[in-house]
Amino acid sequence: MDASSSQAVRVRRKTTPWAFQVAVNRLKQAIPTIACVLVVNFFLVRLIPGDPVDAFVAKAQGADQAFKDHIRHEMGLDEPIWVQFGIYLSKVAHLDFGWSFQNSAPVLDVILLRLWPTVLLLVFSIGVSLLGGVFLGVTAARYSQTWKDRTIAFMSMVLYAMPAFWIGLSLIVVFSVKLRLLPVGGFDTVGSGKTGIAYALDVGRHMTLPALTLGLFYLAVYTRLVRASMFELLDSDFVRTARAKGLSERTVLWRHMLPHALLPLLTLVGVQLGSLLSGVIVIETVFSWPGLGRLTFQAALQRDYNVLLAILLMSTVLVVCANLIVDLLSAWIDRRMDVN
Amino acid sequence: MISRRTVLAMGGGLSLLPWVGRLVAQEAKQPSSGGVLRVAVYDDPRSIFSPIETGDLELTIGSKIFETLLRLKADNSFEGVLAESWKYSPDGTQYEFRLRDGIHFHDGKPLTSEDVAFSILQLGKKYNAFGSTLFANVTSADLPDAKTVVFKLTKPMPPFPFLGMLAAFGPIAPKHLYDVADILKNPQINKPVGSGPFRFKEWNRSSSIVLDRNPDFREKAQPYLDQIVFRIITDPGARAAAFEADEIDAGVNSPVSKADLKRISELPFIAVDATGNKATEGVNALEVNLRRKELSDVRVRRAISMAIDRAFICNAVYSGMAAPARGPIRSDSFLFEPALPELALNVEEANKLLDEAGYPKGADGWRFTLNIDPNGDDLNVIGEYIKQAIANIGINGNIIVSDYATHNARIYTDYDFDLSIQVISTLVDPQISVFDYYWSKAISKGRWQTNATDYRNEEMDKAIDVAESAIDADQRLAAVRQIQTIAARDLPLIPLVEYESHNVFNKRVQLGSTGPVWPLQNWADAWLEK
Repeated sequence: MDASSSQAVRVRRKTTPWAFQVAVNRLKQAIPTIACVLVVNFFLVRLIPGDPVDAFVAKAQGADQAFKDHIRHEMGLDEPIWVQFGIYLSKVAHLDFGWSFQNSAPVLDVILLRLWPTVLLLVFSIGVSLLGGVFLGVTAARYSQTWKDRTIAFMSMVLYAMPAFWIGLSLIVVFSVKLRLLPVGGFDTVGSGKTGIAYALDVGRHMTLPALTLGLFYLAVYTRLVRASMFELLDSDFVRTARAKGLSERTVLWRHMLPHALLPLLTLVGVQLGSLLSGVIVIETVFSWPGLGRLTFQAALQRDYNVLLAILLMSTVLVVCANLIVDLLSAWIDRRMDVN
Repeated sequence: MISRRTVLAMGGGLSLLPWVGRLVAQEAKQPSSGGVLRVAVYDDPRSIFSPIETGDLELTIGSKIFETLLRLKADNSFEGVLAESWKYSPDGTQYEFRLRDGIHFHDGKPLTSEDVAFSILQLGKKYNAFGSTLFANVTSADLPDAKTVVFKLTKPMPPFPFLGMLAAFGPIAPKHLYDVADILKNPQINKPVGSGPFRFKEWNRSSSIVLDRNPDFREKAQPYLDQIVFRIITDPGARAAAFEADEIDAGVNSPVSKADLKRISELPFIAVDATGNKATEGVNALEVNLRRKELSDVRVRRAISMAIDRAFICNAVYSGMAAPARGPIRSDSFLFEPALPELALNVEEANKLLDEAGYPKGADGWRFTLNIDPNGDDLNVIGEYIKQAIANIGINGNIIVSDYATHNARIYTDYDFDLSIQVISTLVDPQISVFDYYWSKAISKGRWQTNATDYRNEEMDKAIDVAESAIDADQRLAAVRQIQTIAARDLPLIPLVEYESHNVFNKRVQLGSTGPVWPLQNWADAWLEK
């Protein structure tokens, strides 16, 4: 008893500087990571076959040579690659991401406009799927091997197996085409002139189906994970002790078992954050959501180097930050963890 | 959306399917004002500044803001838009346009002959991707007064292609706003100010483009619509659903997939039109690389052509919305050569021709292997069929699928192909976009949609020279027909099918004046029934 309580006191005393330390250490590690990504990406995008100038004129059905030479010069692609790289580095250092010829606008404007719809979509869908996944997983564990558990296991398997675009189109057919309850796609009602709460509700209506589609997939993944983790814990000593103490089943499940089951869940979320951009491409396309996923896909097809590099850099920074948060959360949940 | 990058075609022609309706025969109704027209488009445009653009999307949106001198009508005649009248010198080297009275840009400044000359000679010729080719012979303009512009050509050009070119690629922009250094990188490109019935309001990237009614438009009652909203919906399934849910009023250039079209067209409130869009139709063909020894033999090319069941492609790939092609020019064009033979399936004869040409089947059953490069969408499906078809005559097909940019680099820059499947579109007139596939002077590394086959034939070159400069309509027609006859004999390109594209509308949409290029009209007289 004594030892454990003194340890608890020690940990609590260390909390503030400890979190700060972790953050600082992580950022130190992040700088070389980001630098590496910067270099690798620059050369990687140039390895994609297909010429940005060809892709640029594709929208205009091709072009004559004089025009293409002119565009190549404007894009700075007629310089040797090392010179291009130098220019790129110095521009990034000044937070200048260049001009997107495919969008006729500065790259930063193009990206920032698309960033917030995607963040909104992700926060909602992941939030919903985390809450739902934990609830269903715990419920399945509580009623293990009964019809409730089997239904949850079956449904999560089905959702996990269905492709996202298919779920999306099915939801559109049911809720938009047949019932006409929700819009088919888009971010808001164009030209509605709504502001404030009315506008937020309007966006919410538009976001319901895409967030649900994206969320359902993650919901299935999280449910299965929580359920499996909980099952593993059902026979462990501390659970038996808690039950022997006469704690209610609810308390045992939610207060004693769940924190242990959350750790693998958090790890998984952290890993998945890295693949989110590719995950939203389909959803954003099906629901005409003006987000980053579509922009990334478009930029890759159009060989829009400037946009592509800026998105890759930004998503690297975002992933590093998100992982830092996940690490801190894990450490907070399980103090034994040495995050350094 | 095979033809989404193609802009103009012409001719009347009936729809191939009975259930594809026609909106031309509407009884005259009294137009009513007001309402928002919601139009589905498949992507963000590169810009809305159409005077420098050639893509269908950019021109569809831009044509409501920037107007052209004239427009093409269904009977292949022209109607003045900004121009009141026009005439040309008998030798075809001078074209004079007289502008209408009282045309103003959205900022209130009058539109003058100087703006016209600037838009064609500065913007179009310099920044339009095809400009230096399209307007190659147009070197200067005389401006006798503010309402008259006389274009001077260094080489005679027949009136139809010249006027058609101006109707499609000649939107007029104000010189006082766009005479700036490098417009492609100038923020001015995103502030479109023209003379059209609609004014640019906002562009919510990847979401929508909103145009407002121009209250000072020269036709007092027009435009009838209060607003046009172009909604960017990338997924064809989602576009179909948006029509079904009544969230979209119109879509142009085949907005829904062939698979969805029948279902959508059966909805009571939906009309499908196949005439207003003759614009985007063309002929799908195989470009054959004659640099390859086997393919340089015309018997091999004929054999490949005979191995293909064109009716099968029409039904399987286009759900019947296509017809077997006989040449590079569509059979509904007035320039079509009716004496061209039908290209029939004959596997036995094809095998015989290949044996004669000296390519017997090897021990493995193959005569030789050919790469097939389809250029996306429906063409990829055709590619699968071509592979099977040529397998029947002992040619092993190897399909290479690449994205748009890579494909075109392979075909037109590297010449690294055997058979390429391509849309040959007639941009108003074959002179603008079809002859280059056959002309030896158009072999130009890096230029797309030109002669990549390495076909060189003096007789053909001569016929093209005549067709490109004959002012007399009959003389020109004879030359264009001769081009088709030689093309059918030599087969440097193997024609496959003529496909049909469609526009989809909610029945409340009234088109106003129709034409074979409806998407590029200014829509001033389009209205919504209440």
